[in-house]
Amino acid sequence: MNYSNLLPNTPVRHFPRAIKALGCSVPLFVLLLLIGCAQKMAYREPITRFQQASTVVIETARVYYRIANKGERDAEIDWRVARREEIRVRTLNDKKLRLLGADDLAARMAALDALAKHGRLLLTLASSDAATKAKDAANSLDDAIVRLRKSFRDEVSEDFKKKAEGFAAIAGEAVKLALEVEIAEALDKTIVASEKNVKTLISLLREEVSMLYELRRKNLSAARVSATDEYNEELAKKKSNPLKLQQAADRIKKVEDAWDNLPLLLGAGPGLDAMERAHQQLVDYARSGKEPQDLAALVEAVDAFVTRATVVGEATKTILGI
Amino acid sequence: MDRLELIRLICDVITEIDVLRSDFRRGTKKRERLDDIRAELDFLQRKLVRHAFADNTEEFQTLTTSLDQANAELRQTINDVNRVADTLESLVKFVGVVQKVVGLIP
Repeated sequence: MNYSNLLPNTPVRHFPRAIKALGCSVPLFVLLLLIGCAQKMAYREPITRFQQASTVVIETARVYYRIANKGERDAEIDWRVARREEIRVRTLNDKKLRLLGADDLAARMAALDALAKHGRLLLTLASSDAATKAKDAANSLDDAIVRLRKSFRDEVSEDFKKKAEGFAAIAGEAVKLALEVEIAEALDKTIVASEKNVKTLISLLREEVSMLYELRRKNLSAARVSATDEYNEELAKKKSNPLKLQQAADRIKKVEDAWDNLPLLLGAGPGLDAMERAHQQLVDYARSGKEPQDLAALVEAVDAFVTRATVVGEATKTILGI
Repeated sequence: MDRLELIRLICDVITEIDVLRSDFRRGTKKRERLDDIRAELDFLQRKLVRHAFADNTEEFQTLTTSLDQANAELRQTINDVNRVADTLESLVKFVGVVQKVVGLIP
């Protein structure tokens, strides 16, 4: 049995050799093994929670990207209705109406998928059955990287390609580490290696999702005007219809509810922000001497991330009706 | 100011235009003028979201300084329904600067 697999990713890892050299007794060796396991177990919970919260935030970002074009199309239709303008298929086909082309959208989905698989690999490496499952998780991430790179077509922005490629490179490195290096060592190395590029990718996604939020705010603002217009126009008629007035008022209430709930949707951006901070803390912990205060800082950042992710997930489900 | 802050600022202005728009009936001159300006800002904002561009250039920073000035001017009147003429004038200036920013898109 390779006991080094059970040992933590700290200076303690090298103790088997030291034990032999010093001629240590078996109980001391077992004690060191237990310390190692305990340290790896300490990693497990924050990484599990980080992964769960990441899944929520990544799913929310996916939803944002998916509905982005629909939001703009619907807003254009509403705008034309409000101004009594014609609506033609040519208008709806107009590329200018789309925030993200098909290739852009595919690239974002591939990047989110790779980011999720990267998190899953970390979780697997921190698990007790890492030795048997690491290969599957690494291969799954490898497939996601291949898909991500394939998605870099001409239409995809250079800025996105550059940042996502940086992430693809370190994710590829993580795959290698997981397959070739001892599990305990791979976990720390994978986390530390991901520092810069994961941060860059998350920042990029956060910025884009925040922009999409602004567009949603703008569209909802237009809907508020249309709703009040309808009511006021009915009211201005010589013989206003009470039923139509009530219907218009109900629409105002519905739009105003959505408007009031809008700040909750802002969570998708801050959700990615919290993810970035928690990931940084994960990196700091991997680099640290794994003292209790290092773990406490990691747990605190992950707790904040989980709290934010829970709000984001619930708000998205409620407000977007998914 | 960076690209996201610019997009946020444009959205702020659009939502304020919307508040003002709802003070006027559809089909009136002032309302139509406000509708047109909103449509233009909407179009420009969409373009800024769709196309990435460097926001750390001197050119961009100079334009955003002009935008801050135009915004400060706008702020003095936009909430006053009796000063729509002044607001429209400020909005035209604001849109002009945004058009210049959009001109930076490669």
